[in-house]
Amino acid sequence: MIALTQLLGAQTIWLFEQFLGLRSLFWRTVASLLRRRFRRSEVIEHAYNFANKSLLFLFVTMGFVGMIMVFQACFQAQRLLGDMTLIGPAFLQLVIREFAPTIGGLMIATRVGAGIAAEIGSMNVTEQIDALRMNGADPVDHLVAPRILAGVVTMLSLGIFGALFMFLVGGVTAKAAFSVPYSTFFNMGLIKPLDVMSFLNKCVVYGFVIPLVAAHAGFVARGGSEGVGSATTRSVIECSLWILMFDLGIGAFYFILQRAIG
Amino acid sequence: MIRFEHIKKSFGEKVVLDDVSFDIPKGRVQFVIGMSGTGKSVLMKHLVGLLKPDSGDVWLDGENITRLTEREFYRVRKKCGMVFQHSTLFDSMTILENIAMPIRKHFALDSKAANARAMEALELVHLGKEAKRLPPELGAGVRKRAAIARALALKPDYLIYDEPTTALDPIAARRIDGLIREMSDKTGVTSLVVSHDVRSIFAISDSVAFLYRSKLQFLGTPAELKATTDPIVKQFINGLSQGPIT
Repeated sequence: MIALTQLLGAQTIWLFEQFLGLRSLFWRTVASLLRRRFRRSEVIEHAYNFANKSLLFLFVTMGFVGMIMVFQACFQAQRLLGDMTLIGPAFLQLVIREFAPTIGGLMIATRVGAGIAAEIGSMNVTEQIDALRMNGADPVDHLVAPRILAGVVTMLSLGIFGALFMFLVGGVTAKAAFSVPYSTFFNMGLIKPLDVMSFLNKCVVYGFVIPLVAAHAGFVARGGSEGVGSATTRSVIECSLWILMFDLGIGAFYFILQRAIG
Repeated sequence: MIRFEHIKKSFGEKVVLDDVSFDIPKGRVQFVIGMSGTGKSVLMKHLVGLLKPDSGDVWLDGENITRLTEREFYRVRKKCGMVFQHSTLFDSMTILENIAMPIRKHFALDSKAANARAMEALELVHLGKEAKRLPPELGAGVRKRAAIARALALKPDYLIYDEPTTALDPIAARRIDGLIREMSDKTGVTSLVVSHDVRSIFAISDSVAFLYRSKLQFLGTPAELKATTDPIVKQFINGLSQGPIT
């Protein structure tokens, strides 16, 4: 019993310390962004790399999820209602509110977040971050701020393209498997401005959170290659958890706002 | 002068430094030696604020630098260059750019002025011809010399070498030893060398501190080190497998 209490206590302290570390990195990054202490060319370079590396992976995932969702929705609608006129508009609403930003975010956390954690983690264990500090360079300006701006740009652009692709694949699936006409499926009638706001909000938040959490995992990596491996795993798990928490929070906020507006 | 006063440092439950105190006068080549994991590099990192002690104080030229902030440490890092164990040159930059970077950052110079000063530092370590090459194109010994040039480019008063001869072949290692002594004699820089290379100690050091089990076990000149009767120190410098060190 004492051992269990000690373990829980140690885990709680560890979690609290990690949270404080992440909070400190967040504020240092905000300061760096506000003072524009980073190089713009690095932002462009990272955005190009993040987006290019993730594009195919994201489209394949979005395409399959779109096909599966539309197939199941059409199947159930045909069986229970016999009417599939609302499948397209309802699917688009779901894509914009949930699937495109959140599934996209989870995929980018896997692809880009893991890469950032591995890169910063290996720089950390080989003392390159110490070397940066000795050179008078702030690691946050050089390693975190440009990646965060690049993350926001990547998340927004891939979120939009991912949503369009998912909707397109859904429409083709509905037509091919259930003969739903394109004119019926590709209907944006249910989309409200707040849905688009929620989508953009989630993309920006995830684009910020993924590089931040991944960079923090890299900064706290210890030891050799084992430490880098742990940082990578940790980054994917923590990014995914933060994305799901923000998904719930932002979703709930817009739901309440929608009801308040009426 | 550098003064370490009752330095204690732990990582989790592992005590790395336990009440370590000694002074390093200016102009010396001071070696800090000991077994792997005895806190030699950790001690040196306290001097430039890469690590902070759990307790104790670090003094540099009469100033207590223990509680300085990261930004305040920038001026300390101008005074104290550091050559890391793995050289830590940035692979995407040429040797010249690597050396010009800290000059630009610390002295806010434009690229032309920073490059000129970087070139001077490269000439000092006889690497002028390699300025335009990338680090991966060079051997470990040459990269180490470039790392020394990067530290020297700031014209520091103190230069910390973290295991400068580790992973080098014997010829490259002796060349690095020669360079450390040469830089100390030429520029008057105080050199702090973390090492377990016994040949280097007797070839170039003015003073030696030996750390054992997180504590300072010995402090003296190379001649005193050679003459010591301390069985732990004797076992280490003679590289014996049998003895009190297990």
